[in-house]
Amino acid sequence: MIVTITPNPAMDESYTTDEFRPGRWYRARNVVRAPGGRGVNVSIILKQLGYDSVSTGFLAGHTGGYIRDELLSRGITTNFVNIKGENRTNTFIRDESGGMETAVTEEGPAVSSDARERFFWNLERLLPRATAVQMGGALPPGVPDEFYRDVIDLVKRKNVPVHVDASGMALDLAIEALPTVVKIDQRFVGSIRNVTLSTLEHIMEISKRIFDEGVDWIIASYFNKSNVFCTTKGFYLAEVKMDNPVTYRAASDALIAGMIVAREERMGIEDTMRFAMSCVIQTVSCPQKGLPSRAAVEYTLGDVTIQKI
Amino acid sequence: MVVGDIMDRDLTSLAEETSLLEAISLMALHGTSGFPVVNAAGHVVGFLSEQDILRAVIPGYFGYMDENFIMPDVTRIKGMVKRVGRDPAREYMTKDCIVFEEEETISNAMMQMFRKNIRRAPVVQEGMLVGMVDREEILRGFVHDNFAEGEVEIPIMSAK
Repeated sequence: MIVTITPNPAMDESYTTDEFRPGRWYRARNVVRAPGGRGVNVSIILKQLGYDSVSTGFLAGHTGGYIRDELLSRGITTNFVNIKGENRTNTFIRDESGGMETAVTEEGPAVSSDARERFFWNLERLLPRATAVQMGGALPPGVPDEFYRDVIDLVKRKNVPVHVDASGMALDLAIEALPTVVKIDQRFVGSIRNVTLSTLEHIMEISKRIFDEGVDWIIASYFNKSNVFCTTKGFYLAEVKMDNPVTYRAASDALIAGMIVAREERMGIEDTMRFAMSCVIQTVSCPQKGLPSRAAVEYTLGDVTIQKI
Repeated sequence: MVVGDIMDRDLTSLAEETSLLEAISLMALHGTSGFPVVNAAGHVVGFLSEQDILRAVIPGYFGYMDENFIMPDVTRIKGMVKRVGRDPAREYMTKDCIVFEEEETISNAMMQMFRKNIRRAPVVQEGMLVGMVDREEILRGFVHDNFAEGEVEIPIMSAK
């Protein structure tokens, strides 16, 4: 069983307009609503790849009810802590003519210490049957930056591999606890430990430092179509061919879902990268949340170029 | 159709040491009338319903509540809530609660739930909680199984 953790889930509302400029009124040509947040996205993509997971985190209000019902209707097991307030709605506007996406996100509901305590109680009961844990995304008010680090400490005590995809101080602290896989999304992470991730050399420098401390995989996005993988066999630059990307929103989550599946199926390093990157191709090209199918992922394995650097 | 097809794949549960007041708060937050109680390994060891809590706070004459000459003594009930509110779930939960396996047929689950007059029941796999099933979903599943396609339309929430 794979456990995904979304401290700050959301309802993603995506509006497609013919054009979009600030200060004007537009009528959406198409609206897509879906549950969102890093872990929730990973749970959805895992299901599309044929893997069951338990989606956890904090749910609140009507939006929380929507997220839970949507996951339930997709056959995904849930174990959220219900709290007071309202989960956030993240709004995305896709401008068809410019091919640009604009996003407005909310902060999310405040999480009390009792709710956090209950979350850890739930997690402890899930870990005996967990084969992997994934977590990521922004932390809601009331959840301290140490949250991911504390989760990693608990998960590692049970010898379960743990994947983290976060940003800011929460990521810096998480890395200290040495997770199995660290994903660095350059859209949200400008620097780590005062090293600016502006060049390939800088990315490799910080990745090597984290790897030497004991993290098995460090994956950093590098422009839109590439990721730098730091592995036990050295550095790789993996690039994908994408003709018509619809959205890059869940690209990072697709990559992590692919990494988890690859680990469950004991794929080698190169096959793991290829599979995870192919999940990215399918997800950024899919107008609905996630990817079309496992078969689609296998179809585009050849569209991934892997180069040792 | 089997229980696994229609169950709610939610694992919200109580610990044996969860207090009754915390259980009441969780029931309100989750909008539900009861939770399975699990041990540290995730095995179901009981079920605590709102009825079990009512029994705890209205002990003496609970069985006669449907007779209209009994008037509830609110002061006494408040005192009982204060007294037992911090007691652990293990003291008031139903220990030998009904559990179903995912492979149990809808009709068998329906018979057992109606016979024992229970609204919700845990679904387990090797004793571990994997979901919950309630009478409403069981009824939907039963209708789905026993009516010809198109005769009635019943949306099924869960998808295996």
